[in-house]
Amino acid sequence: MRLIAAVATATTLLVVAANANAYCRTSNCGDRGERTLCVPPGLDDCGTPILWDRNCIGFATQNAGSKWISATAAAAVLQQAFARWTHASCGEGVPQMRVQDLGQVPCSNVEYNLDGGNVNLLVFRDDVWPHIEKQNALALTIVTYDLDTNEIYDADIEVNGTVALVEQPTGVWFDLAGILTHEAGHALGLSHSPLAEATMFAEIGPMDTSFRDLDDDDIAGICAIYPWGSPVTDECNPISRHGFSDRCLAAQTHGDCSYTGGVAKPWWPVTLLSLLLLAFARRRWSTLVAQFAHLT
Amino acid sequence: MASPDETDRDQRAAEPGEPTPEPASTPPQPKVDDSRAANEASGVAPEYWLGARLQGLLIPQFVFEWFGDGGTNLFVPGGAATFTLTTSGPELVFALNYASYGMGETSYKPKDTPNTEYEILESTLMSLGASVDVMWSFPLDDDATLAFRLGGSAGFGWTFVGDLFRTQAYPANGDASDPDSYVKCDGPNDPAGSFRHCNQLDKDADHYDGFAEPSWFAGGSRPLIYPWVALPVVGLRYQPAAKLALDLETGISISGFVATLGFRYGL
Repeated sequence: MRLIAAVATATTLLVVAANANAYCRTSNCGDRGERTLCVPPGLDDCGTPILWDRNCIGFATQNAGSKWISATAAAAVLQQAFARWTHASCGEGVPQMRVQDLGQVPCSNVEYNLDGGNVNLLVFRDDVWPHIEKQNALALTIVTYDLDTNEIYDADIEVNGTVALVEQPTGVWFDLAGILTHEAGHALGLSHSPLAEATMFAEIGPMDTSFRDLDDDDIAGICAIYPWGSPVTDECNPISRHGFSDRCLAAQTHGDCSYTGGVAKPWWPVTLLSLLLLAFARRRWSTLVAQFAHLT
Repeated sequence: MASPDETDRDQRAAEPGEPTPEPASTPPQPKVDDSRAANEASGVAPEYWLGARLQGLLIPQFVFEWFGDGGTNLFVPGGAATFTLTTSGPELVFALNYASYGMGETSYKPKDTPNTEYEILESTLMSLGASVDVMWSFPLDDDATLAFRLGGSAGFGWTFVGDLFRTQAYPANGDASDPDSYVKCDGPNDPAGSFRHCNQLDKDADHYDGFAEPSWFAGGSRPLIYPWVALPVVGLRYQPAAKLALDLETGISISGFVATLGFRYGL
């Protein structure tokens, strides 16, 4: 049985002084939990870095969008954010990673489902920012990975919509494009950089758009995780682990049987083809049962 | 009308030296099995018949739609060897059947599931089966050459060869609500952008490139044994000679409409 863990990394709005270290990757440090591995190494570094063990992933946007930006526009901003990473110059090529836009989905839950389809999600929390322990956070990325293999299975980005996220004629606002670029770095396996000029720096100030542009430190980090090669094309497979689902687990269907206790069709002892059709549904149900026994 | 036993008694009574028995004076009994009556009248009275029949089963699309969306009108051709036993009541027809459940590409999904669940089904299944028909006959003319038949059939089948193929499908013309618009996916997200349909959900992650549903005994869900029930079955029997009969029947089975055309020869 594999165990999985999730790491939440927040971008805050407080600006602090930088030190001279460079890029850091999120790492699995076993019993010590999630840590970082930096280049050059930091004193507290430990563990094995996490990464996507594939060169193609997809992200979808929750269809309600935000009061600051529509879902369609937000998806475009997110795609630009990922493109900054996947189009970075790693010497003779670009990182072997492609992030596809999987459109809009109704699910607004941050979840990774062992027994259902999944989606990497961008969702806005406009009314209440639910993370009390991270009240200063502008955004939060939850990355779920395998504790044994350190493979990232899922990444969801929550953006704090209780603050202004687009340019305002008056008052304070924060740059959504920069925030999403930073969170995209987390989703790809990077941790906070101690360099203030880096996009992966932990804090960003109001009206600061500098996170949109990757620093050399950021580029070194992404190229270390996903070494250069020919660009990955749209023909790649971005389907999430256990399959893509635009619905949250509770609303997913599994053949004739819903996860929420949907009514199974009455058995109808009919002839061959009808039985085949029943079997079509039964297969789905049996698979569902099997998934409970094999946490992967 | 005399029975064979009565004929024997009459023949024995003609022998010299024996007392002459009184002729039987049994009152006329209503005859249901007119074939037996006709044969008795002709003096050959086959009790056993061997025969063969062609059989066609039409599974209408609405049967598919009891369980899901999509489907097709499926014609299942077949045939059978028959052994018919006449009794004083109904005929019992024991049949060994063959049927071809071959089906071309047909889009289908379980009911109340999203359109993304559509798959293309194909079948090369063939079955062998055994059944018993219980049929009553009612003469339509004086010499019982033509008779109306009424009864039913029950049995089981065994899918002895063939496969049921399932392939993920996507709407080629973009109309996801139209089952006829679906075509096979080449693979996960292949063609590009089809990931919602050409998906890899655990329940059907590998349903590409002619995935064959395993049988029950192989851990899958393709049935190996299935029931057969048809009720009512109605038809006509044409008996041009004492030992030759043609039967044309039709009926309602639990998966569709069945029709048979058979001939049999009296032993």
